[in-house]
Amino acid sequence: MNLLKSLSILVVLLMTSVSFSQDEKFTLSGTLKDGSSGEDLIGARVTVKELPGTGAITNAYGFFSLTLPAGTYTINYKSLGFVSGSFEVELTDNIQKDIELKPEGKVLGKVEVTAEKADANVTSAEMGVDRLSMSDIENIPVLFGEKDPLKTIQLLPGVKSAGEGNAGFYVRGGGSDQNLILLDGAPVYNASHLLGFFSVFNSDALKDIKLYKGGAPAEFGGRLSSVLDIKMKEGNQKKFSASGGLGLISSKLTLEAPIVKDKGSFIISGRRTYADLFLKLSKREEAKNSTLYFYDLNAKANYKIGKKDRIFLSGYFGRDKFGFADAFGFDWGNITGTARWNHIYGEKQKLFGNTSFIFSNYNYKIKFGSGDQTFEIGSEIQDFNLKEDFTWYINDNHTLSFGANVIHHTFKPGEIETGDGIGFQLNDIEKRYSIESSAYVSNEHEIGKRITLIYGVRGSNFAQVGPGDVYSFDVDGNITDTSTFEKWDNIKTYWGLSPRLSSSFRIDENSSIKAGYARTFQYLHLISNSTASSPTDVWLPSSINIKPQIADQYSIGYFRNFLDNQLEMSVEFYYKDMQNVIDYRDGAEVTLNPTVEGELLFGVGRAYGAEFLIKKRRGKFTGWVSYTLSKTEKKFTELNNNNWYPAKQDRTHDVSIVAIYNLNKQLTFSASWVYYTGNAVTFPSGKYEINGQVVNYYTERNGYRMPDYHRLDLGCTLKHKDYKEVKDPDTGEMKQIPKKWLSSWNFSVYNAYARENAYSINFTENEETGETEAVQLALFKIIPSVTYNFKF
Amino acid sequence: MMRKVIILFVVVLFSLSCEKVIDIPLNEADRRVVVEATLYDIPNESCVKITKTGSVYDDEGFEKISNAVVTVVDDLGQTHTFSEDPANPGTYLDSTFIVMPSRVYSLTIVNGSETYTSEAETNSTPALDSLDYQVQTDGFFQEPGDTNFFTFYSFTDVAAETNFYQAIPIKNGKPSGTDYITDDALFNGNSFRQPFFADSFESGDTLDALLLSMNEGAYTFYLSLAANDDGGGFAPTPANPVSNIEGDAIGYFGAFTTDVLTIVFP
Repeated sequence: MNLLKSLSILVVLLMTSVSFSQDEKFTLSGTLKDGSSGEDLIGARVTVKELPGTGAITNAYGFFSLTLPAGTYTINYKSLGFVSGSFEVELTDNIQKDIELKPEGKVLGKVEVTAEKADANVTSAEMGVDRLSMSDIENIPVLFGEKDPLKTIQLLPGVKSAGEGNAGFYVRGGGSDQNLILLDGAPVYNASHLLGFFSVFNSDALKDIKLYKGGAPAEFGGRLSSVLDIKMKEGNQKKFSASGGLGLISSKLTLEAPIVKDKGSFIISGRRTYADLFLKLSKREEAKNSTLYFYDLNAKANYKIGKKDRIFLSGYFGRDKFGFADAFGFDWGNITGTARWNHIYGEKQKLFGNTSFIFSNYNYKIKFGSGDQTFEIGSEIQDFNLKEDFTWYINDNHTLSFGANVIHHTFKPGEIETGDGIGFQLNDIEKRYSIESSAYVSNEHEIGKRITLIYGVRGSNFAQVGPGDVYSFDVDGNITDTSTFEKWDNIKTYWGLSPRLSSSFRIDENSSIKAGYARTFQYLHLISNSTASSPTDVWLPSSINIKPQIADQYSIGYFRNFLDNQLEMSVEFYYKDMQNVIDYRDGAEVTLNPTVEGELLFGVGRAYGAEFLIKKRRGKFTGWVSYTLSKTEKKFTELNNNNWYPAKQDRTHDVSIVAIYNLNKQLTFSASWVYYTGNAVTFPSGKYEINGQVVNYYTERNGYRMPDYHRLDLGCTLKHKDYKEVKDPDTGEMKQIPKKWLSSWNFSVYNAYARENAYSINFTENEETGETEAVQLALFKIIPSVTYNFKF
Repeated sequence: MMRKVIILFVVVLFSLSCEKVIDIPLNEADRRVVVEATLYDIPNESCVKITKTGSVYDDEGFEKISNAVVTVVDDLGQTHTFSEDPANPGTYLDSTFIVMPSRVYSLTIVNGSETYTSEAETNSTPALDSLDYQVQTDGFFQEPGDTNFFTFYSFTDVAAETNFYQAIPIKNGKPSGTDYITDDALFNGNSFRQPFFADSFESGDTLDALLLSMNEGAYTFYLSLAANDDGGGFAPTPANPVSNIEGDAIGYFGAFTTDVLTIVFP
């Protein structure tokens, strides 16, 4: 009923906006680009001097479209980190104009690509959104000096780290599997390398990172708590360039070049770790024969066909390899691919269309034994996704987005193969297939100068299809019935309607109040009862036994900028209600279990909190202080006597302080400090003896806390001068000539004051005294690292 | 098994970690009665132990429960009374008792005013088909040049039954500590062969491979007990192992049929 109401309101709002067309109007459209590399500028601002308050913001492809009454205008454009400019235009016809902006000053190795306008924080209706600048990622110190966007976002309010040095993250009480992580639109099913200590994202290949913590636009769906939208660089349109780095554990190299200057370009970026090369130097045979590394390869190409069409091809391929001689091998990784076609429709160029074909695959393989005596276990999830998105720049007050997509998912929870010499064959775990489709419409609506609304709705459908055997379970998880389905038979269908609303009311030039509501559905579930992310975690679709997870999130916030937008402040409150969240029966076996659905329990969750952020964005000194006060709880009939209990990731207090100081053009210092309440954990409240061993006795679930966590990281980047001083032979004056080869050193220290933060606490018997002791394991003390970066 | 692989991985990865004993105050749970009732098809091996839980930091040993009345009745109506061993308080024995295949056993324990009951069904007696090995040199976690026997055990599952197995390698008379627990879901009715992958054997070692077939309640208890074992970041939220005892007690009642094969490594 509610949904119908919101739909009809949407329709009415749209009708009122489109119905009246008065004087003759024309459209000015185009693309804003970085003049030095040709990269599109996302979120840059185009304004009309004669019509204050009228303007446009470039989309993810640098495209803007402005419809104005015929006349002569002065168009201003600006983008953070670039020299602002303006031009005059006589609008008597539809005009397309591409604009190139010059970078502000010459900054080595990095161009501030995040180009958001200075007061976007206050003016935009979007809330619960964080955008990371690549320069923040470059400067903030991280573990082993391995720049990682997923670790940098953990320093934002409402985002929590999944554990020591871990690239996994929790957003507003959601699980780490409730984040939709997109790389050029393709979902990345397991975003971690080396058991979560590194993410699959090589920051050298990335252009833009945006995190929606709540109220994601209707374009996105499929996960409960957040959307992390990552876009790869397009490659230098102007000239060949190469950049790279040599680090403590990995090396990287990126090549980019135009295919045809200003028409098309490509980028290839690779990274490989080399811990195993040190193992080769070891005297111990076991170390010598061990394999332990990961690599990533990102590639992207784009080409402009005429003025209205552009084609993109991008892909990611990464893999972890761990093994020992012939006896044992374990490898896993993601493959994603995106083919995309941008088209600007119509004479007026008011409709921007985007057709994408997206592929994603995650798989792992474990192999024991050699020769014909082998035993192999594998698992895989694979998607084919066809997606169509449109943005219609109706007029100055309305921007309408709409689209649809359909995904075919294949799940292979467990494929088991044995060599001929083993003499027997194990059954595979049944494959599953499903079709996930959705359609959405959303409108960004400006009402007067003070109010901006983004309202929309997303409808989704999820169908589990045959072939396959489907089990029914009783309340204790025992099989009661088995039904067999043929290929393409419809086993179970779910529908979901998600209304989305976000609104902003501007109090004055510098402050605004925003409020939002969003409903989200999640049809794919990561089956994992371990604390940290594991490569062997398997995704399963919604089915007869697994209902989709549903969340409703309400949020309200106050945003204020100070000192000419140099200082941003925000307070946001959220409340989230979750249904059909998953937990596991006590002692559940979730790996390689054909009837794993019987091990799952379904309950409810709730999360609420307040997020405070003060951020300084410009100047010599930049950084932020963020504080989150929150609570996350779950309730299951079968667990903890049906009482609410704190979720593992429930951390009452969470503080991050980030400071970056640019001493001069050569030297930058950075520091970050984090503090959070320890995770909720289950400790024993008694013990007993059984089978000759002492076993802990537990009473309350997650009734205890790990010790508080805190850590300081320090970093320093030293850039060599980007020019040579040469004496002019004629005049005798000193002249500065730009260098071709640019380089920098990055030094960092992880956990600078060597805090022993608890990774785990085990209650075990001391072997000598027989006494039970609480033994704390701390992973990393001080870890210094150094990286050398170059660019030419 | 999978978790073992991952733990091995973490060990390789983090030689940088450090451990220390810390002080954590814990709540005091109410004392509970613990039943460990294990019946075997081997004479004098069946026994029922009744104890109580204790406090985590208390190392004075566990309270034993004496003077309970312990009876086992099978589905043929035969009653077996287990009486307390005078030398071991809290331990109840019946020297005449032997588990038979394809029976249902009912356990009743009367402890003062309280009664604890449980049931266990046995399947057909398992049979190990063979033990064989591969000779490995320079194996995993070995000194250079060491020779190691990577040993496989195999048996055939009975298709008509849902079976739960445990294999215990006993090296030179001592159980190795790693239990290989599995149900037949992946190989129902087929032959099954698996290595004792966590155990290594050297020249001259004697291996007694013990294969047990057990009731589902005991299997679930073992599996859920093992799930808590690993600790660290990869363990699930720890929970009490799933008990099949009815009444105000924890623990389990297991009935086992067994087979054993022995090999001496050359």
